[in-house]
Amino acid sequence: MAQEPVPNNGPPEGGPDSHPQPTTIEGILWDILYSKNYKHFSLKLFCFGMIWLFVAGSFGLVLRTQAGFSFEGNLLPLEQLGYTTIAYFQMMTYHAVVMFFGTIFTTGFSIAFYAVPTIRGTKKFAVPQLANTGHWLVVAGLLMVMGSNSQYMFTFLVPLKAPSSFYVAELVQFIGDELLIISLLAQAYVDKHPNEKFSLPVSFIVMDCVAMGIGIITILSAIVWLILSPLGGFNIDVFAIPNVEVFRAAFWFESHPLVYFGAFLVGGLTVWFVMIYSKRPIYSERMIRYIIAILFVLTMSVYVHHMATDPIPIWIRDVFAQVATEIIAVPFVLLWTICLITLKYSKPRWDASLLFLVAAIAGNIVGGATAEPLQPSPATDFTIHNTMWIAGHIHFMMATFTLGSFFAVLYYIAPELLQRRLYSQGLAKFHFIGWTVGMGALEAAFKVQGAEGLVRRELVWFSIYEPWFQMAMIGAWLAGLSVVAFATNMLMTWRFGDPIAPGVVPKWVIAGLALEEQSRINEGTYNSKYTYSRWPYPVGLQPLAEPETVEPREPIAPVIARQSVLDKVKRQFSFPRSRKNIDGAENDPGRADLRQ
Amino acid sequence: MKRRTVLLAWTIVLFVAVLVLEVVYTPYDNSGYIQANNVGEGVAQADRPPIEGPYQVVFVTCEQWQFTFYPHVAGAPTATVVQANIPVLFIVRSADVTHGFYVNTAGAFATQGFQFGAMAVPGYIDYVVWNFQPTAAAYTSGESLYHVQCSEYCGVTASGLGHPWMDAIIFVVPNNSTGTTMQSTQMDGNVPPILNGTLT
Repeated sequence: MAQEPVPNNGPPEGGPDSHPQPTTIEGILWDILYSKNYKHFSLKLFCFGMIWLFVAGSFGLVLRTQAGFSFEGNLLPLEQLGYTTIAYFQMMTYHAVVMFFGTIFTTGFSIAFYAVPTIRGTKKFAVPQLANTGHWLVVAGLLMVMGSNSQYMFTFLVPLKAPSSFYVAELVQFIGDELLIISLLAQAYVDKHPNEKFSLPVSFIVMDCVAMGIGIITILSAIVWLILSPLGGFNIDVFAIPNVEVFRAAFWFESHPLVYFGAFLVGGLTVWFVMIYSKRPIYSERMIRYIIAILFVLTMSVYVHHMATDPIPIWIRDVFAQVATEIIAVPFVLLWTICLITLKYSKPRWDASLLFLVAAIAGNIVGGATAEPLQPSPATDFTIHNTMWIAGHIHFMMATFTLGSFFAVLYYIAPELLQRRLYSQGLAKFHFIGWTVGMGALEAAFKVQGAEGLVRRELVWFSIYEPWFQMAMIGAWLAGLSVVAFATNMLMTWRFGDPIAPGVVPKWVIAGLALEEQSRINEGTYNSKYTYSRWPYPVGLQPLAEPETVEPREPIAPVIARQSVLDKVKRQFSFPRSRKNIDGAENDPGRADLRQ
Repeated sequence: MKRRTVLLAWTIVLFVAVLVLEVVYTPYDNSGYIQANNVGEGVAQADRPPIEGPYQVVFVTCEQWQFTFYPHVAGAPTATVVQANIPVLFIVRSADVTHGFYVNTAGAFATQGFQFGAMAVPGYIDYVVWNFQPTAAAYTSGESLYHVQCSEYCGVTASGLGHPWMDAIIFVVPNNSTGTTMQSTQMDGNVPPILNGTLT
């Protein structure tokens, strides 16, 4: 197919990239407090995402270490460690809430706030006031959560009485999240042309924001109801004490979809990177559009299995409550099928980004498959749901799948945000191995414990569970070390990475847009009236023809590229940086490899 | 083959697989007792199907932070004695917050091979049916005991009292004259009633 002109209006003029960089300390501080540039805002969220990762990860490591050092079926005496039984469950609460609403939400927002204007070509920060306010409310809310002394996780099982400060903290945090979601939607719609359509990554993000925006409203309603009830501590008896089941439905029916929030934010980017790595258009762009719509509906039915104990007619419970939850597996399996078909035999470059991507897909498949047995029956659901089996499931879905997807995307876009090439692929691969193996060990240990009947959120257990606690502890520390490697890599990239020329538009945006358009051409759904970005991108790529006969190729001797992180660090810190060092770096095959 | 055909066929296969998973488990998901699966549980409600006897009936009250059986071992409300090979209908309720009535059959209690339980939600009455079938070896080694735990986090106090220590014991005795005598002795004659008719 011949090249066709792209019907768009070309790149924006000026734009926030021309926004002056702050040069004084005061200017930098103001920029952190109130970022007017979408890239700066994204970078700020990324830094806060990392801070939350370390904070919540530290809580997790304390819990795993203590359980790993348990003996004869008991934890070490808590008093010897300087805290009480309540503190143990408080740390568990903080680990879950901060990891979820801090790390995953903030990092996901960071990626989305950068990706949407970059892909659309608007390069505009739509409503910085709303976005900055939302971010700082989330920060305040999470700090308040960690000072609230709550021990109940985020299950909010009324009539348990959590401290009022906890509900107020959650209120602040959810208002902040809602503001961020609204401003992200504004990013997607600002300056939208009548003939502009959303590309796959933007479609996923918009669907996600609408679904989760609705979900958060129901959470806010439930929290306000509780705060105003006698249970909330204010003793304003307006709506009386919430009914247990009604409250649970109000809280979870729409908010259970929040577990997918992070995964959907990067869902479209995942598809794009599969195309870019395999150098092929996606197997079926149209089916992915259907999948986006189906996921939007089904995320809201995931909660329904919690209705198993509700006094509803049994046939409704069987048909609706159980099947409605199971069926979300169908669009997910379809999505991964399409991705894996596209990747098949494509001989991609296996760097850390792709490794994380494939591991994330595997994590979702394994985590989802092991969740399915929970659903068919209330009898199995509630006996398994309250064991460590579910803790294994949530770690599969949140750590290996969602955070794994984030790492895959971050290794691609974070260097661009920093305007530096990634400092070390070696460290990145160590991060991949440590994270995947470490979290895999923890998840497997949890699953075995659950299968053997260990109830979650426990302090005492039979000794048969102890080896698995030790395995989980080792896995957690390995994952923790790998995250330190990730943070180090990012810091070194920022400080010592080779500078890259400031490009007008990242290559992956053009490649993604072109390959997505090619998918539509292949499926016969291409319409030249519509544009998906302001950037000009090639339309009508021809797939490489497969040769009739495959001639055996001469083996090519691999070039061994030295990539010693230690050498690099030594070189960077050898002050003053002599001409020799710089020249040496130029001729270093390891660095040359990175500069490709 | 066209892409649309491939993906449509795959979608149908996945959808059918999900339905099959549900259908396979459907007999299990029933509030009545299913002999083949040895379980039945649900929420007491108007359209509950009739339960065919014989059943032993045990009431369980959950509260922060203990289980109370009725009937129970004399002087020990957190322990009860039931006979093997007669399904036990546990009628579970909560006096305060949400709890989980969870019978752990792991480790030394692994004679059942599967855990079972029901939620105890304030305002509702849940029930679960189970037929204890310990092996002969379990009786001789004293392992026909079953450990009951609260499986829904219900809070702790700073002094160490609370959810992790909310547990109880079920003793299972043989379904013969020796077992009946043991049961009656331990429970001071106040044994669980056995219903032979249809419980509606």
